[in-house]
Amino acid sequence: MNALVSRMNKTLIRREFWENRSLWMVPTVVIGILTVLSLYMLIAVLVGHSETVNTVDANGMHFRIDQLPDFSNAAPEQVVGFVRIVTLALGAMFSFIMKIVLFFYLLDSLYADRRDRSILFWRSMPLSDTRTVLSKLATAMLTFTGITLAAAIVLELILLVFMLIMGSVLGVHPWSILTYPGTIIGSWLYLAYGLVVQAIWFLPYMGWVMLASAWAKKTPFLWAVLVPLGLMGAEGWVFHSAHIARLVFRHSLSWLPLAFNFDPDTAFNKHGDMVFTGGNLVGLDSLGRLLASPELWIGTVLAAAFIYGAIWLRRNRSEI
Amino acid sequence: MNTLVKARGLSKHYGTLAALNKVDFDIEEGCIVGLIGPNGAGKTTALKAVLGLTDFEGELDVLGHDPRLGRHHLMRDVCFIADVAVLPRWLRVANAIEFAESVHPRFSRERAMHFLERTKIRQKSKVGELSKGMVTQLHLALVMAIDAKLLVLDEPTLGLDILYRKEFYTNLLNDYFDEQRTILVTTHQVEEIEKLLTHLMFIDNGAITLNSSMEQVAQDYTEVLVNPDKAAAAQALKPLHERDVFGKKLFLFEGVAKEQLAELGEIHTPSVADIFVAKAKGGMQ
Repeated sequence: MNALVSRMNKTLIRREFWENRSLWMVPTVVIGILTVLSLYMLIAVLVGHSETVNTVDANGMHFRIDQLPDFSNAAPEQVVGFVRIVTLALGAMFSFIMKIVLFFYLLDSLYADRRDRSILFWRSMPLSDTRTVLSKLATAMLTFTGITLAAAIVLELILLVFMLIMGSVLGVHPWSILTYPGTIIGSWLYLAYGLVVQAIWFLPYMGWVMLASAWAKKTPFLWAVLVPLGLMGAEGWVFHSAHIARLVFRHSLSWLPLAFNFDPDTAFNKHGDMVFTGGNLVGLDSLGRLLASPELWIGTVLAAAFIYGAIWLRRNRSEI
Repeated sequence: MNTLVKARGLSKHYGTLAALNKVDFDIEEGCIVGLIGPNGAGKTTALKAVLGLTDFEGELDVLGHDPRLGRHHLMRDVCFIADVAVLPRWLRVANAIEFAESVHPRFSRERAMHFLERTKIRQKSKVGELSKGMVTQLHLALVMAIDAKLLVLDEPTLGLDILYRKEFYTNLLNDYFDEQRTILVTTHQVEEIEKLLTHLMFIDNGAITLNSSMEQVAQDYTEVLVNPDKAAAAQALKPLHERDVFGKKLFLFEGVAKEQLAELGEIHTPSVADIFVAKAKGGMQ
């Protein structure tokens, strides 16, 4: 019975990937484009290389090769900082892209099959509406953590290989970076943790978009976007305040200083460079702070209410 | 015989409009029931209530379930084709089979493949690439591969050309139907299904105006082609309906002995469509 249930769940999530190819196509295309661009840069360096050239003009862009970090005599903290910043930058980029992809995925998740009436086929199967809705939410959460992490790791490895080749040619010797495998893998673990935290932290947004998707008779986008904007506008009009807006936008960033020992005020030096001390980004202190934050629990309760509403609408008001 | 569906005082209102008005009916195991009625008569509402797709008032028991609660339990024993072309365009045939196989405990991949082998549908095709007729063939193959107790078909052949329509019902009858199965079907094209029905149910203005077996219908309803000189005698027997045919009069009677009517002229068993028209007109008067 359990095997049957887990097979069913797997199929439900696979179904989402059959329908929504953008979930994996978009990150794949981004990796492809950035790989080709980096390869182009690499070739430009290799072809243009001579003893005197240490800058590269590629397509009008000016790259200073001597800024490529030379790790051969770098302090371990510098290597750690570099690896972390690359991983987190790639992670931040892909998580931003996946947030947009998943916004549109969730917007369509409970609407597309009502629009083309295929909901009548899906609902002719012995699947509860609760299970269906939760499978779509689970797909979004798994995609956000799994695919973002995988995309960041793949692109980082590709860039690392390019950097090693380029560095060797230029005599910068970045090979010593490989003597810190724990650092590289550790940076991935930090990224994975950050993504899992966000997947939970962003639940109220996801739940809201699913509710709009289950509710809308047409254009769920407008419901998902205009209702909160309308509330914000109404609040400003009546009370001349912006609490809702602050709440909604602040929530999208407030997880960061809770989940990580990362203070935006001291994280940058006076030149605007990010400073990494190599200390514990995550510890029991940050984890405790995160779990003790009322914002996390209020958000989760709110998300549960939105998702319950989406399930109810799916069960009782699924006709367009 | 087992009663699969039992409705008592089944009602459904849309605003002040009663789509179904305190309807009672039973559906027995092993029957093919035709639910016939004009647009807006309440056919689809009745089917939706049975399938747990809509809320309603009154009592409704479908295979021991209240369809309002736990539609997903009901769907193990009940299958339906709600309309043509409700399979999503992006779905591949192979994926549709894989999906049904892993979520439906009574679905048989072998049976689905067996039905699909006879068609031109390929495993790799997407629904969007198939013709309307092929989409219906695919849907029917998926549904026939499920060992369900009750199959509900709502206008299953709407918009299909005649070849597919004929084939649809032939396949259903030859490959699917047996004593353990029950089919509930609605359609506009009554002529197409009247030969295969075992039971007939008319629904009009949210009420059931006729509900009996086809044998009973053949006994109760008689059509007589009467020469003009005997028309008055026929009218005295209170026909349900009369119309002029080639200078003669065609009368439709309900509940008048066939021997008595044979004296008036040539008797036939009327078609379902004729009975329906007569009943509907009677209701309007």
